[in-house]
This record gives sequence, C-alpha cells and structure tokens, in this order.
Amino acid sequence: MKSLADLQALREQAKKRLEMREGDADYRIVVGMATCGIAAGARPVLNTLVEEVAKHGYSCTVTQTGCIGMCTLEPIVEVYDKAGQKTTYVLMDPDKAVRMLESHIRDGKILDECTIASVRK
Amino acid sequence: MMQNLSMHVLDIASNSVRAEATDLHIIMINSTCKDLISIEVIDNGKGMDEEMIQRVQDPFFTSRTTRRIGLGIPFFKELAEACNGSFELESQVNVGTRIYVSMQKSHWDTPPLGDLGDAVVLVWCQKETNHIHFDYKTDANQFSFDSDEIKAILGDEVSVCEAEIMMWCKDYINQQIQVCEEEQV
Ligand SMILES: Nc1ncnc2c1ncn2[C@@H]1O[C@H](COP(=O)(O)OP(=O)(O)OP(=O)(O)O)[C@@H](O)[C@H]1O
Ligand SMILES: [Mg+2]
Repeated sequence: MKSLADLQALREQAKKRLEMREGDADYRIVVGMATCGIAAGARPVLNTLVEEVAKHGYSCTVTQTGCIGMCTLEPIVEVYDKAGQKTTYVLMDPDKAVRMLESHIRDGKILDECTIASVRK
Repeated sequence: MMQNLSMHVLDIASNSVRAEATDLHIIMINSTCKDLISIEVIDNGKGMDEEMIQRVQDPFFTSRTTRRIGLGIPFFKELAEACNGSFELESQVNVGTRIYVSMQKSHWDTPPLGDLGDAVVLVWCQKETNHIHFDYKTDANQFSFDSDEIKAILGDEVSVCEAEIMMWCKDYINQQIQVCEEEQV
C-alpha cells in the first residue's frame, strides 16, 4: 500500500537525479494534448517520454501543450534544441517515442522517418 | 474515439487550465445503489458568457485559432445522452465554470473508468502551480487527493512533473480508488 510517507524518499531520489543534470537541458520536448491529441493516443506517448527520459537521464524536459493544429497527424511531438530550432514528429506512438529519444536526444540525429517532412513528401 | 471516462476528465479539465483557472475541483461519483456515474469539473477560470455557453455545445464552435471545430464539450455532452444521463454547464465570466455529466452506470454504452490517476496528474502537470482537488466517491467510501498535500511534502526543490513523482501520484490515486471499490463488497 502506498502512503504519503513514501513520497519523501522519492523526493530525495528525484533531487539526486536533478543534481546530476547540471545546467539547462539540451532539448525541450512538447507533446500536443488537445482533444484530438488525447483521442489519437498522446497520453501513452507523453508517459513513455517522461519515463524514458528519467530512466536514461537524457538532457531534456518534457511538457504538454494544447492543439498544434494538425489533428490528422496527432499524436504530435515537437523537439526544440538550445538554439530554438524545432523538429516536428507526427503520428507518434510509444515505440517511435523511444526510438526518437535514442536517435535525436541521445545521439543528436533527427529520426527522419517520423518527422512531418516524411509524411508531406 | 474517447474509449474511457478518464479521457473525458483529462479533456474537460484541460479546458479549465487553458481558461487560466488556478483552482480545479474534479468530482467523480461511482454509485451502484443509485446506478449512477457522474463527473463534475469546477474551475475558477475566465468563464463564458451566455451566448458562449450555448455555442460551445455545438461541435462546430471553438475559440481556437488553430482549428475551427472544438470537440471536448460536445463529446462530453454526447456521452451523457448516449448513456441515459444528463449534462449541465454553468459559467460566469471572470468567476468560473462548472460542467457536469451523469450516466446510468449499468447502461451498455457507459464507458469504463480508465486511468483516472493518470488523467488527474497530467492535468496538474499542465500547470503545476495550480491547485487540484480530486474527489472519488462510492456508496460507502470516499477518497480525496489534494495537490497541496503533495506539495507540502515535495517542497520547492522537486516538481510534481518529475517522472518518479508523477508516476507515484498516479499509482497512489489509482490504488486509493481501488480501495474504495474493494471495501464495498
Ligand atoms: N472551463 C472553461 N472555462 C472557460 N471557457 C471554456 C471552458 N471550457 C471550454 N471553454 C470554451 O469553450 C470552447 C470549446 O471547448 P471544447 O473543449 O469543446 O473545444 P476546444 O477546447 O476549443 O478544442 P478541443 O477540446 O477539441 O481541443 C473553448 O475553446 C473555450 O473557449
Ligand atoms: Mg477542449
């Protein structure tokens, strides 16, 4: 049974993890969470991103936003680098989210097969 | 499209966050005796005027600029209609909004609850400075989740949006809901 007391231990664990991530994060990941995104499956994508980032200590933040404006391409995930350059990933699922993190955030290589440019071709 | 009730909760409460609410109250009643499930979301956001209240119930209206069709409220209303329930929307400009849907629990079309813990925590993480209160009530039991209680433990250094904290809160809420359900038998 979980009790509020467990939370104190977790707080310390989170603190340690945050101390290791010195300075600003290298990337900012934003997930579209409007009705269209939620209905298309943005929730598991967001959860996968949050969990994997913590697990591997990737240098990025994960946040939610509202409607990105392309409902048929949801779930949509935007990745901003430190210079503010944006890459838009579309039709995401948890598996693609993991591959995107490994390629883009860990190795610095855009995962071309999932970007908006790949569907607009 | 919306396979379970937690998706509606997330969706309707996200409207509140977008309407700049700082205080959100989500109340869910799951009653076997009354054969009723209800969801109520109350916020102190910017509210809507009379005309807007009428218009938002029409699926071709939205205040969004990215897309012309708003879906959240019409979907929620449809849910009540499909499940032999009722829909209420009250709002006052600069005061807040209350939206309520009830369903007949035993109705064939009434969706399962879904991951309510996840929905509540995701709403909170849209703006972690918000105050969120979630009540879950069954015939015999009740559980309350209050974001202030969690914040008091976390302090200023650690955000609820950190993965381990988010996951813990989700599991905690879902576990307490489970307890409410089990103790009834
Ligand atoms: N709690 C609220 N407070 C103030 N205004 C609201 C609230 N909920 C909804 N609205 C207004 O009603 C409009 C319609 O809401 P609805 O959820 O149906 O669609 P949407 O949020 O615009 O788009 P979608 O939910 O499809 O992403 C919103 O754009 C907003 O202007
Ligand atoms: Mg909405």
